[in-house]
Amino acid sequence: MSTKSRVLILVAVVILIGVILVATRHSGRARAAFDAEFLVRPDGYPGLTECYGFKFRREPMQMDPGLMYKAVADGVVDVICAFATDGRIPAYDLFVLKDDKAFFPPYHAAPLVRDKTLKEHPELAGILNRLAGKISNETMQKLNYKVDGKGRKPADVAREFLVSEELIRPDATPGDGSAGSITIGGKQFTEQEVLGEMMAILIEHNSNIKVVRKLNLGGTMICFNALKAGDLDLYAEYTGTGLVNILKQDVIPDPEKGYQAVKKAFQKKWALVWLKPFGFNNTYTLTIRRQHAKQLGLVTISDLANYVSSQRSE
Amino acid sequence: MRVTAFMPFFQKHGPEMLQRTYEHIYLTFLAMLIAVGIALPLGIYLTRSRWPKVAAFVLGGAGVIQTVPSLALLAFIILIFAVIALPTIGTLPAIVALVLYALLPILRNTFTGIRQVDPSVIEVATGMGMRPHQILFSVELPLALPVIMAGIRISTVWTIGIATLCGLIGAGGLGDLIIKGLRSIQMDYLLAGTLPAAALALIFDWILGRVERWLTPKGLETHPASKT
Repeated sequence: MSTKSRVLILVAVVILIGVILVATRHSGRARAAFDAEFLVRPDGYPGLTECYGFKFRREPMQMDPGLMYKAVADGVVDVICAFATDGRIPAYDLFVLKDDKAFFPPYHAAPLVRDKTLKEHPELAGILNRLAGKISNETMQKLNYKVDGKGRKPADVAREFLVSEELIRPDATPGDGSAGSITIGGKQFTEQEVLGEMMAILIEHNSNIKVVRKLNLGGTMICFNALKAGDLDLYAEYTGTGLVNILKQDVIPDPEKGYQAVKKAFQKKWALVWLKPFGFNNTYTLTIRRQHAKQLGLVTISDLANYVSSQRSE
Repeated sequence: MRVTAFMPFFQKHGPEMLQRTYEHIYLTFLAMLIAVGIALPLGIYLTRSRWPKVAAFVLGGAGVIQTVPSLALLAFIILIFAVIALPTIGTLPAIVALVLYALLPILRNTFTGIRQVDPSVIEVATGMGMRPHQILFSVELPLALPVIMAGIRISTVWTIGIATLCGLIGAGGLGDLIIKGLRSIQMDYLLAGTLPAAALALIFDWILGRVERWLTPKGLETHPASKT
């Protein structure tokens, strides 16, 4: 066989494979986009489908949480797993479906600190507890939107908030770092960065502790394992995440009982202390475009489940 | 260890592994097809260009793209696509990013592969009365083939690796499993994504190696460069 005919055969085979690949690809787009953690967690997609008894016809698309909101607003997908305190929900006019079967536990954020760190720096608990109950859902949405929507720096947004709440003075300067250093962690999304900065700035301005920031860690388990190992001293964790994702327990719908349950278990198992919650509840939600919700008459997740099931049988 | 020990693993991840591997092949194959389609003719054209500065400029440009971290390149493409109203998530931005990344090795190897052909060989061909296109297809390209194929092989292996990032923007692929494993620190997800990706790289490289040998003209089989 001549080289020329071999080249022609090769080109033909390559084109054939290309055509087969394109032709066998599923047509139609995914209706839902979730982030990787939600797709794996028991209090995420696996548990949700079990509780409400539905499954999307096409596997949900996996997407970075930062991209989901625009994707649903632009109509690229129809459902996302939005965080309740994300400022883009009001900004993009999205609609949060009501969790009528109370599947998602409350996720009140609070500083989670190593007991050892609290013993080394006795002033720390008092300083961090000044933030207790200070941040409502609406406040957190606004703070998040300043970063996500307006492009401001998390550190500036955090400092501004602390000044407006009179937790630090505008002209205050950080301590001299003579009391040793601690490391604050955070998961890779805006709210965690804002909370991390907030705690860091508050500590720096009210003590002589030097704060090292590691605010862009890849997720719950990375932060939690680093905290257990002593690579982090504290980070902001959510009660529901602690209960369902870390302790692998069932949902406790009552926020106070849930908080007490994780507090007790974390202290006993790992000598980790939950300080007082900031106030807001950053639960997972299923979120769709408001227009779309009206058009289909969807108000609750059960409505969505019925709608998806009826589409499926057609 | 007996084979049955792996059964629960495949029961849990098997279907998704198949689906993601398919998506991964889809992304890699289309990206490589387009990249070869652009870089091979462009590389040949550059060796014929009358202005040596054009070649330096194009190769330099492709080199600059390569220096952008792949994660950042993905983000740039999303931003640019948002401005020109193209889809910012899914397969299209993923393939564009992969193509941009795959260009340089093919382009550079095509260019240098043809350039390194011994000028005396071309002189002989000209003396035999061969036309320029005959020299290209019968002399230069066959002699440059091992170098060009080496570029395509490098590109393919890189593309298979970089395609794991496409899971972040909803394009699927084995990166989906790896990102799930990273976010939840679960070894089984990491393995379910990594093992097929590594296997794909080896298989694609092997196939391309066979193709290279199959395409090499008989008289050139002992060409020293083809042993790499």
